[in-house]
Amino acid sequence: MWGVVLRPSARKTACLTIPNTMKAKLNAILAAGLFLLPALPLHASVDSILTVVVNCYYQQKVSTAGDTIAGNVDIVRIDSKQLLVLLQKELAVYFPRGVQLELAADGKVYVVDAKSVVVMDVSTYISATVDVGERLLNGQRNLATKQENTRNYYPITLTFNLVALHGTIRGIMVESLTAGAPDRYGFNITNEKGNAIVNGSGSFNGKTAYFDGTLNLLGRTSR
Amino acid sequence: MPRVHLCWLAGGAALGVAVFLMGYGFRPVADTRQRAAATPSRHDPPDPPQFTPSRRLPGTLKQHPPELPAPVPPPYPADSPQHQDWIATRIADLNALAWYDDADSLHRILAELYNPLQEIQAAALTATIAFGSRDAIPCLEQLAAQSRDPKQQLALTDAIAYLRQPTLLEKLDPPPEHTE
Repeated sequence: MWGVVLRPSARKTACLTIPNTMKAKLNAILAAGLFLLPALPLHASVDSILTVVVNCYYQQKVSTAGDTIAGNVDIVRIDSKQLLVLLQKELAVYFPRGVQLELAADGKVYVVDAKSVVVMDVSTYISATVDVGERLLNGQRNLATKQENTRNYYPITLTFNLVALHGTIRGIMVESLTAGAPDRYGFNITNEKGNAIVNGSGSFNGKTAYFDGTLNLLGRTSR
Repeated sequence: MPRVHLCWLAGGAALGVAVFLMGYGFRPVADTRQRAAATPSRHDPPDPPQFTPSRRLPGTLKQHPPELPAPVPPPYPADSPQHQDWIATRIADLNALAWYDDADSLHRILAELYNPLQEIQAAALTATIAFGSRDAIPCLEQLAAQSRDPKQQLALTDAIAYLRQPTLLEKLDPPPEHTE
């Protein structure tokens, strides 16, 4: 029940026929909009493999005896591979072995195979908000050669919307981006490595749950 | 000869022996592997021990367990431009292995915990946690017991504690109780 799905960036965009007078107005509006934008990201983000390592705390049981209340909190660990198994169970789909979770630059989450071919868009069930507009930049990027050695800080939010697992975790992603000199074809190999300490709340198996852990991003692309 | 000179000579000799022993004990893993690969005959005389403290990490072990494959040694010199690119590729490879479930993938990840490069060691530990198998715990315990780096010990014990916890799937679908 799974098939290859093209990412939005890879899809063909529809062509619109716009009259010349409208084109001029459109250009003026776009030019004005550029000045109004408060902050533009200095570079396009990289599609990255998303690794989730989270502890989930929930109330296992509470009992009252006389004046005493006793409770037990259970802890379970949640990682990306378990999320993939949970997705397969809840959606009644099958993923081939070695599939990974990929976080696209627009916050969508895909299941991709070992060759980064998209197997399924799972953004309805796991999605992220990456606030690149609020990115703090530390380091240097050469706009002419695209060589880069920066450390970026930005808020990241990951939301689970599964039957057994529901909730949101948030943190600050600390991302290292390095891009070397252009190769003979003019492309820069960009390496991205990010880590965020996250926490949040939600529910696990219908019970109130709190989460803490880390999100790791690892990306490597040519641009 | 005055007694002071004899004392100086004895002290110098003791220092020399200590330096020799330290050099033998601290030989990096990658050097041992490369040397083993370069010497096909078992009867060849072994190379003299070398003391290379700059390439050794505080927590690096002398040998990896025989059940694990050898860690992949860096093919480029540390100061070459290809070295960082090779490290990035190896980290990506380890991350990719963590998404599989077979024992071979886990062993290849665990082997890199014995890599002399700190970046590869850290990536291997991250991949071990992401792999999520309790089969990694004995290896992590062994490393934690032998490590002399407090930071590495803490990271390893944290990883062990995390892996010992029940998983989300185990709680949702508990395995059937074993009945005799």
